[in-house]
Amino acid sequence: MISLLDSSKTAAVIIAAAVFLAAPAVAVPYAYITNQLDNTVSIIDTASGTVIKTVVVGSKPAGVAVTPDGARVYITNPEGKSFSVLDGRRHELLASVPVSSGPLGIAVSPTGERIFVADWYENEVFVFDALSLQQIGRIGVGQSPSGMEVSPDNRYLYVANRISNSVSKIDVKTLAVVATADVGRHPFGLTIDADGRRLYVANVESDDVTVVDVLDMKKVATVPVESLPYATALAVNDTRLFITNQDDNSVSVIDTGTFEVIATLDVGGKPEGIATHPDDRHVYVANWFDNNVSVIDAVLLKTVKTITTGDGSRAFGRFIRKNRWPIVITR
Amino acid sequence: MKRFALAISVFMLFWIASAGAHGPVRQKITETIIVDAPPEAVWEIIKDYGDMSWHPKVEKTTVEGGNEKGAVRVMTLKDGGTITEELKKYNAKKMSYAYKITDMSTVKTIEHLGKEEPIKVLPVTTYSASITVKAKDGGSEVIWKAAFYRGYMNNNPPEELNEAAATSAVKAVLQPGLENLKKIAEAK
Repeated sequence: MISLLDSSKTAAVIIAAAVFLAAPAVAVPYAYITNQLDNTVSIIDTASGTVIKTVVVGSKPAGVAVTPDGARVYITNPEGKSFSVLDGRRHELLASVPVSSGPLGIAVSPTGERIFVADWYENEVFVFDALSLQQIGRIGVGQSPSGMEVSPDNRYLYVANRISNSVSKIDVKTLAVVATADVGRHPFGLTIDADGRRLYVANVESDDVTVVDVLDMKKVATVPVESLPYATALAVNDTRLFITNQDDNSVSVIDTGTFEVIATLDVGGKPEGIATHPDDRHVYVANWFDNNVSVIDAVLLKTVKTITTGDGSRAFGRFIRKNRWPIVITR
Repeated sequence: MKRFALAISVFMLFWIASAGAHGPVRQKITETIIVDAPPEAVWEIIKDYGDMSWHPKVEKTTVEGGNEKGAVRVMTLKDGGTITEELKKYNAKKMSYAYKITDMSTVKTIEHLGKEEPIKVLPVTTYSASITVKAKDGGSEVIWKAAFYRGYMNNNPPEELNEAAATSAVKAVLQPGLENLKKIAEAK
């Protein structure tokens, strides 16, 4: 889909080449479900709809991010104060990287070169180089940063600041906060669209979703949903937004053209993490209370499968590779 | 060198996993009971959100809003103290409702790390629960689920406000409630 080769960025090319040599691209999209109460990650083969492996990671795993090619999976361990690195092909634990007092939200850049970890207690985002796993920067943001997304063009990082009721826009190059949007009360999960134009933010306390235009970081709309909206995912060519309502055991579906709720679907108990399969049609929902994952058909708007996972399935972040085919981005 | 770095990282993992000041992690409990009575008959006993007379620990209940979403009930306990709850979801067809605690009275205060800490009727934070009646083997099964954090939301909780205290306090509400519900339903 994206294959840019900028000759002036030889260093980046070499780094990227090294990454891909070390870890060949992955064909089958897997879903990586963090199970916070048993310290594991359930790995679902989305082709067969079964858990093929359960990997023990750090203490109380919560956040998750997958590189666009699926070669690496990053898992935050808030109680272990670290993030774990999984090989996305062999599904082995490669490393554990100490972070800070409360790593929760995690995101990876579209190039796979940078890992961003939000610290719940320290109000900072820590930036890591994906190759060396060394911390290369830190960014002061709002209070209790949680969900994060990087724009598809790799220019901006967006961070939901739960206690500050805001979203920070950060220049990925300079690591400076360039703008801040006011959203609803206690934003947690957020999603950027494929054009990198709009952000959808779930506000846990005001029971609504804020739509933000990233150009001026102003609100475009506020859409009420059910109790305790937690995280969001786009599907069907970005025409539909899916939101987990943690306290309502449901998923709200918003038409992104009209900003109207077109369906509310029953899922399992305490739905939390949500992510869309690269087929753009199947949406996976981690049900924390019921220890399983609901698979929603985003076109027919119904649950088509339920997959048993581990204790306290949380899966906060993009837990499935985003792209349909493994891609190589060099810059 | 790379292998060495990896070994260090793996070592770090185990070291980190065993170390630990603990931040709060949400807890959950599911209690169930089998009742030798039709599900409709069991639901009939618990279906009114404002009527908790089937629970042996509840002295009286007042409600505003009936069985509508948003209804608020205040339970006065036989041991003293009150619990205020808001109805979040009510589904008569599925014989189920869900609610959350919005307020509780304080039983006592303790001193912890040089500060006064209130101990509530239940030593929990952000408590939500649901109760459901289902048909099972010609009778019924009642499923009561609760999700909550411990009472102390900072690191290093006192014994009275840790996960174990929260879990045992919640069990002490759910279990006798279900046992008494079974007794009432089976006596009818």
